[in-house]
Amino acid sequence: MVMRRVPLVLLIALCLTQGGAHALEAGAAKVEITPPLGTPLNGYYDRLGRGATAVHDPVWVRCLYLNDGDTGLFLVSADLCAINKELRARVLELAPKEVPPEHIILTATHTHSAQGGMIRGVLFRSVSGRFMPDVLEQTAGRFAEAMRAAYQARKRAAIGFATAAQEGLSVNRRDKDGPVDSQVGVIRVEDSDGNPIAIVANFAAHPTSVGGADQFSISADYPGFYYAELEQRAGDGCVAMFMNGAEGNQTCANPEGKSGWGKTESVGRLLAQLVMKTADTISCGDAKLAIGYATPELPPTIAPDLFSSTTVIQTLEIDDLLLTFYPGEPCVELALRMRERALARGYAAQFSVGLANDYLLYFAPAESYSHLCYETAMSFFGPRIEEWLSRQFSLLMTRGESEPEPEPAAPAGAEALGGAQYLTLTGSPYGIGFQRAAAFREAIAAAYQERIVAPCDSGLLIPEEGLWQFAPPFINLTTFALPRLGIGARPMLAGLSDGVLRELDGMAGGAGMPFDALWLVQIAPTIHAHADVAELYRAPFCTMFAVVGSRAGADDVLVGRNLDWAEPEPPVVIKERPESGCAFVQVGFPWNAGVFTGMNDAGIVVCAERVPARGEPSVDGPPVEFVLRDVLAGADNLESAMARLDQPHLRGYHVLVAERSSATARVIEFGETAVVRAPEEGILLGIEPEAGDIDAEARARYTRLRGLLSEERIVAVPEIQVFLADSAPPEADPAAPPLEQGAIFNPLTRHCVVFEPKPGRMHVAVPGDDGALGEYAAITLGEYEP
Amino acid sequence: MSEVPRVYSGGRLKGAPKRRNTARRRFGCGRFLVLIILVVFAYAAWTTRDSCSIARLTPADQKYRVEFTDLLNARQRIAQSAVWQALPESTPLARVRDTLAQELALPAGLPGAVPDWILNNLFHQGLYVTGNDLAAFSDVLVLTKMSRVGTLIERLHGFVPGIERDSAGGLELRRLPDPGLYYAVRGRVLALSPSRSALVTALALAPEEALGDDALLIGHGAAGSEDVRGTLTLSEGDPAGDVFESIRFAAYVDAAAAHVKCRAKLRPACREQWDALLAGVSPQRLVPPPDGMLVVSANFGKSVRDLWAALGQGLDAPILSEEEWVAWESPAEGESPGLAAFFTRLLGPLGPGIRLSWCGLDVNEMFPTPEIVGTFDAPEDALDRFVAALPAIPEGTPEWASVPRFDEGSRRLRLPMIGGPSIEPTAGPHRDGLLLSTSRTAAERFLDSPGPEPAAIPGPGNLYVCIRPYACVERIAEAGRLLAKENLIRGHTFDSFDAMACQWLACAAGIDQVRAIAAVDGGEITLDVEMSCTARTSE
Repeated sequence: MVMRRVPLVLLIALCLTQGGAHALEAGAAKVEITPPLGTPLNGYYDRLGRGATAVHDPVWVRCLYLNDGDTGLFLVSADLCAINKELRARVLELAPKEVPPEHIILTATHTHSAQGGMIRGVLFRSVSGRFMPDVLEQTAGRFAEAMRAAYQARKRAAIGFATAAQEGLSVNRRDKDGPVDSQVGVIRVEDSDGNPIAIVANFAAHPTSVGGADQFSISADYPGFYYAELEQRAGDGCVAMFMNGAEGNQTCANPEGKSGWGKTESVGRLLAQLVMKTADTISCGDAKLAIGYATPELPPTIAPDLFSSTTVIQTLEIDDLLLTFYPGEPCVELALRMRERALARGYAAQFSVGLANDYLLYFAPAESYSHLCYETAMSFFGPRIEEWLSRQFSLLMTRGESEPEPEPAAPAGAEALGGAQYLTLTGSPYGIGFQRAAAFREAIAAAYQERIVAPCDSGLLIPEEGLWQFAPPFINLTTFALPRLGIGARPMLAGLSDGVLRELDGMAGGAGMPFDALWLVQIAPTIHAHADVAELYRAPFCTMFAVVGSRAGADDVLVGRNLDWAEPEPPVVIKERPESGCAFVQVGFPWNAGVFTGMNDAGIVVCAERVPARGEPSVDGPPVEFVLRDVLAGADNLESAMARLDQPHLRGYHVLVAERSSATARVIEFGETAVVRAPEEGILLGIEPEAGDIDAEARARYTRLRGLLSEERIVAVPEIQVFLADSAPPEADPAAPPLEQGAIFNPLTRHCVVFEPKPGRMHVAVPGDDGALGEYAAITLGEYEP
Repeated sequence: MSEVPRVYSGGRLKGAPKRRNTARRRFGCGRFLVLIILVVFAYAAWTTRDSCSIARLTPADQKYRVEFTDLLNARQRIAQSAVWQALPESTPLARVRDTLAQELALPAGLPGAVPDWILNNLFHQGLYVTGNDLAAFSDVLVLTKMSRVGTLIERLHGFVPGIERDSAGGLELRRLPDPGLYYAVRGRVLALSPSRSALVTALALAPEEALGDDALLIGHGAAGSEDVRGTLTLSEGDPAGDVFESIRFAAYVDAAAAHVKCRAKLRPACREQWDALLAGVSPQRLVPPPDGMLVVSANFGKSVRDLWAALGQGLDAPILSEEEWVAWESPAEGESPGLAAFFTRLLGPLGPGIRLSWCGLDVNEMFPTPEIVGTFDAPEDALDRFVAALPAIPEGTPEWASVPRFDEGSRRLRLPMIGGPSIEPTAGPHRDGLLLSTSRTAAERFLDSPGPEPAAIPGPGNLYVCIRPYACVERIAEAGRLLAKENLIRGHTFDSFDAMACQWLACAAGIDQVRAIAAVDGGEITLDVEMSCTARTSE
């Protein structure tokens, strides 16, 4: 008897449980949050924090309460520019306790015509206006009021979703041919009689259509017209909600060719019509809800004072619909790729929602990081922020496999090579960069501090014009200058291969510093080469020469190279064996990912020498050392090397390229125009000492070098080693000041290298603590031979 | 009395009781004792005779002379004044306070203190301090006249450990190695100095090099019950010596305040430099400024514009020049006056009475913004004339545009700027003059409720300054913390700034306010300063 009853009880319990899980409840409410006139509006710098003068249309907070029996949540959308931390914190304090804070999703429509004044920090006030605690309190209170009302209005409900394709409602504001998110996501929530409780739209476009004489009018922008149209169509009792998408580089179009408010109205109305039409097609039912919530540590940023160290990442799943909530403004590329990933993991649809829970400004895709525009300039977490966000969302998704965490790169162990440190790096570009930076973490941090932060602190890298000059002396301008420098340096990334970018990213990771900071360290020589701060880094990179043909004896081609450098930095020799491309060895310093002196396994040798007479290095493209790095990583003959060096932005350098197969070398003088020189009588000097415009030190060095070379009929490795160590003082005018770098081997020489491209061997020597040149050590690209 | 002669054998009779000739012995001993006492007294009288005057040991050419009039009687009052507790720890005066508290039992009752009766006898008649080094006070010479008892006590120095003899060529100095002091006694005068050379000079003065007794009296016109008074004779290169030739001062300290009066004579070159400001200036009745943390009331008999140029000449500051003023005053043809033109045109003709008040600091503005309110003597029609000269606002000019706007009803003029009302200059008629503030909120506060006419500033003068340090520091610290939180203060993290701000607040906590009134009369400047402190409650 008992045995027969148990299955029945279980069946009843199971039914009850199942029934409970699917008894979806929903409620929706809206509360007006229009602030008093005089309140600053949030979103445009040029308003200069002045207060609102009129109300065009009211602004609202709209809330949808959902509960599937297991998971209760508030989905809140407010006509605000952003959800800042102060607002979120206060809203969560005031929110009804029926829903845990992790299940409260706060989003902003991003209208630029609603109240600011809710940010306590000074740095954001130029956009959001003065801090008004009463406005913050009042707005947060209305949020809570909307949540309470939605909760109280809860009833048995059904839910469904669909997507529609829009055309002509939005455009890519940065590139007219650029990608547009044509998807409009729609969620319909209805009561048991089929009457809509709420209709939620997800559409990506900046609500920035209000301007001109109306820029001080309060308005919800096009979402305001959307609400009016949709609610009129859906009937009383339906709360129209709007969640902006990945609108970073998306803005509303002008579908009916109207101007002023007419344009705003048309976008809102047409969007509402499309949403209503789509919502009418949705068949609603019960649904399983799942909320993902995390507060991860953010990647390092060059503007740490603008942001907290953590943020809020949320996902919402309604059956097989995935919503990802970005704490800022993602560009559309991120959303499109996120959608692909979500669909691949088994979701039926995915909506990206921007401006949710936090405001970290923009998230630009890696491919546009070097293209300076507003969206990329306002993106502060490095070029790989998309990957970071994607990984965070991935961890919260309940369907499919999470994206694997990047393999932790094993730290590279440095060996001694003469007086230098020698590293062999293999693996992915990211791993190579990570290993290298992890090995020289302190040196890289010190380089950043000395070359970038300290000159900012001292005012050397602070502009003397514009608003900078009006700053009171007690203000720490470094806080402003570092992000500005970081942004300004990004165009110099243009043209770098993805491999180099990933290696730099790896270096930033290994050094534990922001990508922008790591890049500033890389381009510090270029920054400091400019006239106003030239005294910091006036040292040229010298000396270099090639001996080819019969003058090189059986070796065919040999290259000698000394590098002079003002800073007494530890020399390093790094052998990179990337997964693809050429393996190469570079001699340099712990921090520099670019190449001043190097050779690859195809026998290509590159050296660079700064020649001030050829002009200031340009900042319109990557610095010369990164171009040389690209040559080593990809060129396998002189022709392809020369092709990679054909970069019009290069200026102020001489570059020597030598190659094994043709046993020859070239010097390219990058001035106003690029001039290519070939060896004469088997000798090719980095600088012609007869050139009229070179400095006295270079002339003295190369005159001496030419004399030494001309004394030898055949110049082999031992002779070159002797020449590079030659420290005979130049025959200078006794009346002239002493030439510190007048000798080939001088107090600023940091390494001496002889390249033998034919066997793929190089001999490296560095000065010891006593300043004398140490023993040469040989390295091949095959193995290390001390 | 018996006539019977008595014969004494000189020997003792057998069986006779033993008798002692105590009277004779007493007489002999007493006589000896009296003699000794007489000798001692004579010696004491001789050695403690008042054979030397303080003036005789005071060099005539010293740069500073300070007299403590009645330090012994006043020391309890002075020592217990709240003023001392308000002195910032890092100041020299705070070190003096601590030294006095440790060494001289000020306040009395500290463990290990020198007994009162010793102090009373050592510093019996006045205390003079003099010297030449105004920068480091390395040659300071302290002179005081001891009582006879004090002089005798000093004679016992041989029994006091730590006092060394220094004959100094017969000048007989004593040296206290631990505090690094030398002293000598002449008559009843005790001369003390950290500088052996200064002390030797004082002891070896020829009569004509010494200050006369009459010259020793330090006079001060306004002095009466002061605790300390002094004169400074300054040379160029001395602190303040490039500005003043001489300064006389007197100070008085009571339970909760310190009062200082100064009279300073300007150096001719300086008088010439400041001639544009000071020529023909005489003390005026100053009107109190609007209430604030830092207030200034000035009347130099000049309009704001003339005052600006005069300050520019005095300070040699190009930005305060007449040319700059004209450039600001004259925007391009047809342009509405911007901020500079607004202020220069409106303020230029106002004066001579000028009152400025720093009455707040709005940390919630676009950036922390001080709120400054000024009231000015002004002709009745000053505002109307300014408004009448304004170009008409073009039709369609948005409400937020930065052009001056005059509201006929309230008779208020304002210039919208950036941000909120704390960065919106506003002006309106106020009492008999004009009020102008950098902040609309602050202006409205005073214009809407002018309140009763405040009591006049006591005494005539040309410049009155009053500061409430704690309120100032509190607001600055609040703004600084806000900025430091975002790493916007040079050289400081939030924590380091916060620690510094706490120190400032602690320093300022004991001071209620500092008031100063300065008057110019002829070539002399008089200055009365009063620092009021929170009186300590007796425990």
